[in-house]
Amino acid sequence: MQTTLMHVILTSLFFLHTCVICGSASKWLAIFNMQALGISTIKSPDNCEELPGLVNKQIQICKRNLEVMDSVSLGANLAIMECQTQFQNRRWNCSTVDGSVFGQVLDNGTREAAFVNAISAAGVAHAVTRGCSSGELEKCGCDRTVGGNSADGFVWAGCSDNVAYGVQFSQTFVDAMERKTRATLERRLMNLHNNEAGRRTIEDNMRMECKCHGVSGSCEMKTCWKSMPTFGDIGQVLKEKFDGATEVQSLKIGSRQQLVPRNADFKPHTSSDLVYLVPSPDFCEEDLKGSLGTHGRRCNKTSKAIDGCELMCCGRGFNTHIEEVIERCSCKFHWCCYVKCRNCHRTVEVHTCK
Amino acid sequence: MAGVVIENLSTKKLMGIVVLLLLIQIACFLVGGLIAPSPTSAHTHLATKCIDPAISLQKAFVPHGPNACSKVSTFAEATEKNIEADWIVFSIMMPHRPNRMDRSFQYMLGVLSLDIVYKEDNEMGDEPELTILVEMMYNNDDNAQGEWKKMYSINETRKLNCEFFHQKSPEAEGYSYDCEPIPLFELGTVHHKYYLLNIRLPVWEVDPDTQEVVRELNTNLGAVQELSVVEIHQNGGFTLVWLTLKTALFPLVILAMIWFWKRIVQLARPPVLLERTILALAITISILNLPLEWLTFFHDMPYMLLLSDIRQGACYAMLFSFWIIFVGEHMMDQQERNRLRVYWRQVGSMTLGCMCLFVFDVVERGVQLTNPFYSLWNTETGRRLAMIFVVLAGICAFLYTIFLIFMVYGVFKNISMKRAALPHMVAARRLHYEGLIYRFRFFMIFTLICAVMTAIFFIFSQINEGNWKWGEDKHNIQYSSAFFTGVYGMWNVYVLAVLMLYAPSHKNKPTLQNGDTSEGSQVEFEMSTNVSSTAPSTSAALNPSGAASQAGTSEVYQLLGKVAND
Amino acid sequence: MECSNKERQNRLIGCCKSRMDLSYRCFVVCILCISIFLSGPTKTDASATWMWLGAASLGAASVGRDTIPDGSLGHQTATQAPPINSILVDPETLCQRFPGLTVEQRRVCSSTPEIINMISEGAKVGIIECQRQFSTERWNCSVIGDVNNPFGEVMNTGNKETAFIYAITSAGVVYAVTRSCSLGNLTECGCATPRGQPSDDVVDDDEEWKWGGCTDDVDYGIKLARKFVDSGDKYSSSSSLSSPSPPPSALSRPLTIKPGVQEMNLHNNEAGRQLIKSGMKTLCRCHGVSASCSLKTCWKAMPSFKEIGDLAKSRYSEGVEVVVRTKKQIRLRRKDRRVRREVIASDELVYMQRSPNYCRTNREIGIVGTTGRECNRTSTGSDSCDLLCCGRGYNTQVIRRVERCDCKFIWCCKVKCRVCETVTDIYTCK
Repeated sequence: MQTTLMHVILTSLFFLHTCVICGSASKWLAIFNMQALGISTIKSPDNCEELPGLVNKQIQICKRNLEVMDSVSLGANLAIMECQTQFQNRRWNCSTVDGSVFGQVLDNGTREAAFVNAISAAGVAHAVTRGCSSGELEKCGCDRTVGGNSADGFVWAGCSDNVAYGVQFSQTFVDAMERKTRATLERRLMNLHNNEAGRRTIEDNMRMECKCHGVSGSCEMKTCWKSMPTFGDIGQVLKEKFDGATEVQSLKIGSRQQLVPRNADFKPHTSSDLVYLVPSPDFCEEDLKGSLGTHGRRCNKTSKAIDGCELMCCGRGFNTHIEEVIERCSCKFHWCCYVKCRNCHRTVEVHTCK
Repeated sequence: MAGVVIENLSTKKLMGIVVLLLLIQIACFLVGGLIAPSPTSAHTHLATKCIDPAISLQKAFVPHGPNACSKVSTFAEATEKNIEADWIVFSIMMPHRPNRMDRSFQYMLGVLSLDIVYKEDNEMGDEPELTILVEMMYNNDDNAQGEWKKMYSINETRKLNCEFFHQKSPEAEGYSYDCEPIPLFELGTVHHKYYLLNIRLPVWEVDPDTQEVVRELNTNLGAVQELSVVEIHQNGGFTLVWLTLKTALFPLVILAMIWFWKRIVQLARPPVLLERTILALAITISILNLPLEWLTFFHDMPYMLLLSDIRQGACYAMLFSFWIIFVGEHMMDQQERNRLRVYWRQVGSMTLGCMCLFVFDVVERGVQLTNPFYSLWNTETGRRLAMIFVVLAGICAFLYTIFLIFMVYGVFKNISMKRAALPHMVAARRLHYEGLIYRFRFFMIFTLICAVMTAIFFIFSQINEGNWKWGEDKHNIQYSSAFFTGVYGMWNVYVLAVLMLYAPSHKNKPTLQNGDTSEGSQVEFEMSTNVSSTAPSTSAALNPSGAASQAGTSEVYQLLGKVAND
Repeated sequence: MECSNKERQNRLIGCCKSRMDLSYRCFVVCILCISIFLSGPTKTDASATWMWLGAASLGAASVGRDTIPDGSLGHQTATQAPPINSILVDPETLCQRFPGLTVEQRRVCSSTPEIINMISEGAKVGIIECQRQFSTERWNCSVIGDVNNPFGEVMNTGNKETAFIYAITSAGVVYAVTRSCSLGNLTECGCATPRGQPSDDVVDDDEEWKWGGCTDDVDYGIKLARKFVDSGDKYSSSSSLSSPSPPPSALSRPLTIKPGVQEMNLHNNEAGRQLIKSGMKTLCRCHGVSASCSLKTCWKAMPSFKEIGDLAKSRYSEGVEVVVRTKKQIRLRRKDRRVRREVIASDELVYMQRSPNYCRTNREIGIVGTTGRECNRTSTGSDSCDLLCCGRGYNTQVIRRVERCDCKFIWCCKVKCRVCETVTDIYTCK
């Protein structure tokens, strides 16, 4: 009784919070932390209603595809983890704020917002596809369209990842948000484009994995299947696209509004590139927009990149303190499996921004 | 054998002579170290790139002055102006304005340096070969105003020896290959005031009869950026000091020689082989001392270098022969001495070695009289020939050294044998042998000192890379000049010492009875008669020379640390 | 005057510039003329103005290189960059009128008029090498300032970059003077000591030449560079008495000279000159009797300036931070107390301030920033898009290059080339 009350209060607070800020299109990402809200798994349509940050259409989709929602939650989790991994060395490190996932930082159409959109769409697609391939989901299975013999003389077999289904689901679910928010047309166009870019990353980087099983293990006969790249690779690719993102503005071309690059000299973007509307702030200081600043962040004294102490601390300087690190070392394997390690003490210098 | 001066010299006189010679020696060193500048100086001339679209081989392209040629400053500029490779003439005027070349520079060497830069699309090939067309011209008018008269027009090829010490990548463009400098020319005389070099790197070799292109030249050189010639000559100051030294030493040696010859003539007997050798040595060193170079100030004598080399070689040969003969003559109790034929092996090997070097030198310098750009090391056959000669000379030198060491060892063995037997000898005989031993040891020590000093100074000057200045501009000690003058003076002093100290002595009243005095027993006889003729304890006043000789001998013994034993 | 879109896309080398050539040249000339005739012979207190000689000729040279003149080879054509004096006035007047030269510098300049060409050439060589060495770094040695401060405020800050600029331009002057001596263009090398006045007694110099040869060209270069460059960096009170204090004009800025900056600049000038000395290679030739080494002559050869630049860059990386001690006389000491005892070598670069990061544009302290710099997406060094753009990301542009390729060379000059067209992406920092 008390727990449900807590849930209700929390979710209503959450909804309140989310109503206040509009335009931040990744609110549905809050789904990543279902456990915090006490939802271990989505079994009944009522759970769908309890999920924070979903718009009506998404709730409908949830109710219709209950078994997929666990994958969606997993996908959201993946996306946030990957975002934090990729951005750990930058000033804005994709940190989650209690309440609305990333705070108000992503309210403007910056590059960071583009990345978050892309990676979350990719995360959902990836997780759903994974779910399909592992047989957890009934509605989909392996990709049946890939089969028979290929031109090189090997046989398509195995279980090719059903990327089409995952991408389709992600498109339906994630893009549903964009058609219903009160954001500007520009922002919606941008989000849609970036979501598509994230999904395309998976499709463009599909790999072929093979197993040789000819005579005495030679590669006379091979069985191959298509598999998705690991999510770490996708994160890497998206980070590179983040670096090369194009600044766009929306123009009326013909009868529709389209996003065109702001500077005509620059190479036009493709549908797998990330786009953004405004340049990012420098994330140095805390501000009302929600940036947390870089006070107290760890920095690398010897690096000249943005994780170096000069750039990370925005010229404020840094403090150094000595930490003792206890780690396992001199690990020895005992005849097969049993590992015995010692604990080594090491002193390291840790630099933190002022 | 009659005694020589040194055996009968009182310590005071010996010391006096030694001090005198030492003073001359030190004076030679100081003159070289303090007064003379360094022996040679090198000046870098960066070539100016003149343009000659007409490829006129007759014209003189002068880099500066009123008739200066039209030039480009870099090859990038040349490329833009569509200037072709065979229109380029590298023009060098020696010396730099406003100086003039002087006849006291004696000779002029040229070393060519190419600055080749790495470029990916124009890399240096393997075994690059350089073909140049050189014209050398001279001019004697003030400020090189007048016409340039042609001296030489030569076609030469050289092999380049280059290395690249960086990784070959687009970032390495702009670094130069490390190339060894190429010997360009050797002029034996600097007779004119201004010299002009026009160097072309032709692109095609054209058959003069059919006017057809035979082959392409200079194809794998890489991207040449600059050409520079380093011009080396002997400093005028050094030449003056050197010639003055020679002019001062020449009469000294001549006088000593005349004195020596007089002493020999005064003897009734014909001169011994050793004495003839000493005389020959004196003559060769006088020929070397003869300051013929003064004539180069008035006449053009391009063969002067060759002549100096021959003179120097003859002097070395004579010196080595002298050592052999001297050591051989002091082998005591050996028959068959006093004839040149005995030494055929040693003198023969030494002569062969010297002849090899002589031929090598004559070929190289001889051809350079007509073509100063010629180098024996250039062609494959020439290089092999030169190597053969040099190796042969090396072998001969080695053989000679072995022989010399053997003979010296033999003499010392004899000496030690005789020493052991000395106390048991008759007084006269003992005196004789002790005299021989003494003068041989003196000779050995003296020669060894001179040779070791020469070696030390040579190594010293090599380590200092030929040019070591100590201190600032005006006050410096020139070590290499000091080496040259010092060593030159040292060997002159050596010859003077030999002439003075190894002249036949008149003190012992050499007998007129025996013509052939080289036999040991006869000498013994002589000595015994001589000694017995002078009473050991009679008054010194009656026979001052005898007493002096007596006193002298006893002093000699004192020097040797021996106790007279009757 | 602007390029059309098509031309901009083609990015032909020489596009747009051929049209801007004449007007650009006039522009440069006008600016210099104005500066000369407005300011007159005043002593400004900026020390780096002589470097502007190189910077200006650099501008003219980059223009001149692109245009292909109608090769008239019959008469004496000018060398690559039209030197300053041929653009404007003869060297004598230039010496007197060029703003920013101190009295001492004008004196040295007037005594040997050819010097101004060489100083300009040397400064140009130094600047080009500086830009080449730093082309992959955030600060790329760009010439952004004016006559007083060719590199902007970085000249006054006293950090590592300042040290490098002073050292490399000083080395450039030595290089240019030595080269000029080797070419024979300068008639006062070697035997004449740069007394400032032409030698009345030519006979004396000839005697010294005949007696013992002349000193190395590089020694003369170092002496002359020391005289000219260092005299500009010395702010002596006596010279301020001889000329009236300059009125604040548009070109001279009131500068606050910190104590010790002068000593630092002088030290770095000397370090640059020592670089040339330490880079010289010794070559020898044996030429005694029968080609033996009884007589060996050795001489020093100048390395290429790129190697000097490499040396300077390594000294820059090992720069020594110093503090100023102003007890009796101003002296520089190492900042690190632990090694304070160690003497600062004369070829080490010293600096007083830590360099800022040159990422963001900051006009007050003269930082241009890295916006618009071309970066290399695949590199891992300091010119990678990550490091150069300081994490801001990059823009992609497609350019079409038309250039000559597959050239067949004959040892120096191109003979036959094809024309290749390549379409590539270039990345510039946001």
